[in-house]
Amino acid sequence: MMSHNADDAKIIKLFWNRDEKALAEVSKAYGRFCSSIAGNILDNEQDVEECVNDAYLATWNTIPPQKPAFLAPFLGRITRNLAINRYKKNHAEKRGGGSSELILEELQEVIPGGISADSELIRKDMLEVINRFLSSLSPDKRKIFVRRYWYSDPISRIASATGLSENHIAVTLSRMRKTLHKLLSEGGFDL
Amino acid sequence: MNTQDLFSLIGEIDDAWIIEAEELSSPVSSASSSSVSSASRSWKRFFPSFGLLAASILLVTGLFLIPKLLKKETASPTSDLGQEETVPAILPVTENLEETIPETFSGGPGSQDGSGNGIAIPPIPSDHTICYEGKNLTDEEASVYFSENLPRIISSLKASGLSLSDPRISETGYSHVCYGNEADHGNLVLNRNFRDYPLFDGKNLVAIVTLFKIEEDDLIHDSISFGGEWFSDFGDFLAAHQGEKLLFIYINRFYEIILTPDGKCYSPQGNEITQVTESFSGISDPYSILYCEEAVYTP
Repeated sequence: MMSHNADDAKIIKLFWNRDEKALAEVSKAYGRFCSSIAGNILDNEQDVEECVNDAYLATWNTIPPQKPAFLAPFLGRITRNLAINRYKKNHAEKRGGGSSELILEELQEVIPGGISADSELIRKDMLEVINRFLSSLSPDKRKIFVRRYWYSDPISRIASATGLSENHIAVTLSRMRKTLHKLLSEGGFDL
Repeated sequence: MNTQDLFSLIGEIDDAWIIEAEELSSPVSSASSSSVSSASRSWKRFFPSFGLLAASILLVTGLFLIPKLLKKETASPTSDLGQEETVPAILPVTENLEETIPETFSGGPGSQDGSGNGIAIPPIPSDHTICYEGKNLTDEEASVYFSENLPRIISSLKASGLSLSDPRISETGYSHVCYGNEADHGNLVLNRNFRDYPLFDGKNLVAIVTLFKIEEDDLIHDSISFGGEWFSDFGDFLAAHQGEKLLFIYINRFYEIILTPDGKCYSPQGNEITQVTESFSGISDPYSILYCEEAVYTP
C-alpha cells in the first residue's frame, strides 16, 4: 500500500529498520520545521540546536514501537515538549526564557480560576474542550490560533504569512482567547 | 494550572490542526536554517557515516547507550506533560514486529519494492499448515478502537487534502497469509496482530487503515494509507466482487495479491502478476491451499 506521504513512509521504514540514514533523512525533511518550533520557544541558538538533536534521538528511541501516520505533528510535538522543558529549566535557572514569555502572558487570560492540572482526567477533559473549540473555528482563524499557541510563531510572522495586519492578528487572538476561556469556564473547570 | 501547563496541554491538540496550520508557515521560518545545519552536523557526531564498523558501533550505541542517556531528557516531558504517546517508555524491538511492519510501506505503481519486477516470486510452501503469529486483533476490538479514533483519522485525512463527505470504515477487516520471506521460515504465516480496514467515502475506496497490536503494551495503533492512484481501481475491483470471499496474501511480506474463489489473481496496486501466476503452475487450487478465514475480506 502506498502512504499518502511517500517520504514519511520511507523515513519511518528506515527508523523501523534501525538504519542510521533515518536521522539524515529526517533532518533533511524536517530539520527546518523542528528548528523553527524550538526556535520560537527558545532564543538561544545552542539550546535550539541541542533541542532538535534531542528530538531526533527521542524519535530514534520512539520509532519503533510507534509508527506515526504523519511525521510532522509527531516530530513537532516531541520538539515542542523538549523545548518547553528546556525553557522551564532555563527559566528556573533565570537564564532568560525568550520569546515564550509573551505567549504565556497571553494564555494567562484563558485559564479559569482555581483549576488544578494535577488530575490527568481534568487534562483530558480540557484538551477535549480545546479540540472542540478549534473545530468550531473557521480554518483561517484556527490556523492563526495554532500558529501562535502551538508553533509559537510571533504575531509579526503570522501577519506576514496571512497578509493581515499585526493589529488584526492580535485582536483576533484576543477574541479567541476570550472564547476559549468562556468555554473552559462553562465546561466546569472554573471551580 | 499555570500558563506553562496550558501551553503544554495545547501541544496535545489533534494532529489535523497542526498539519492544517503548517500551510501557514511563512518564509520567515527559514531564519532558523542556520540552526538546522548546525543541528545536522551535531547529530552526525552521534551517527557519522564512516563505514560499516563505525555504523555498527554507533548502532549499538544508539540501541543501548543513547536510550539511557536520553532517558533523563525524555522522562521529563513524559512526566511533566503527560506525553505518554509521544515519548513512551523505551520498548525492546521484537523481531516479529519488525518483520511484519514493512508491508505497510511497500510502494504502489512504479515502486521498485512493490512492483514485483525482477523479484523472484517464491513457490507456495510445501507444508500448507498456517502458523499464527502475534496477538490476535479482532474486528470487535477494531470496532471499539474506531469508535474512539475514527474522527481523528478522518480529520487527518481531510487535513491532508482528501475531500470526504460520507466517510465509512469497513466493519470487517482482513489479515494476510504470508510466505516467501526469510522470517516466515518456509511456512505459511498469518500475523494476527495486523489487520487492514478499507475506508470508503460513499462507494469510493479512499484509504486503508491498518491496525496493529504491539505485544509489549497490548495497545492498538493505526497506520493510514491513501493517495495512491490504484485506490480507484482497487475500489472498482472490490465493488465488482461483492459477496465474494477474497483472500489476501503477502508474498515476501510486501507483494500483496488477492485470490478470488474462482482462482483469479489480482494485485491491488496494479502490479504485474505474471510471475505470481507462474509460481502457481502445477498447483490446482491455490485459493484452497492458502485459505484462512482471518485473511478473507468479503466486500
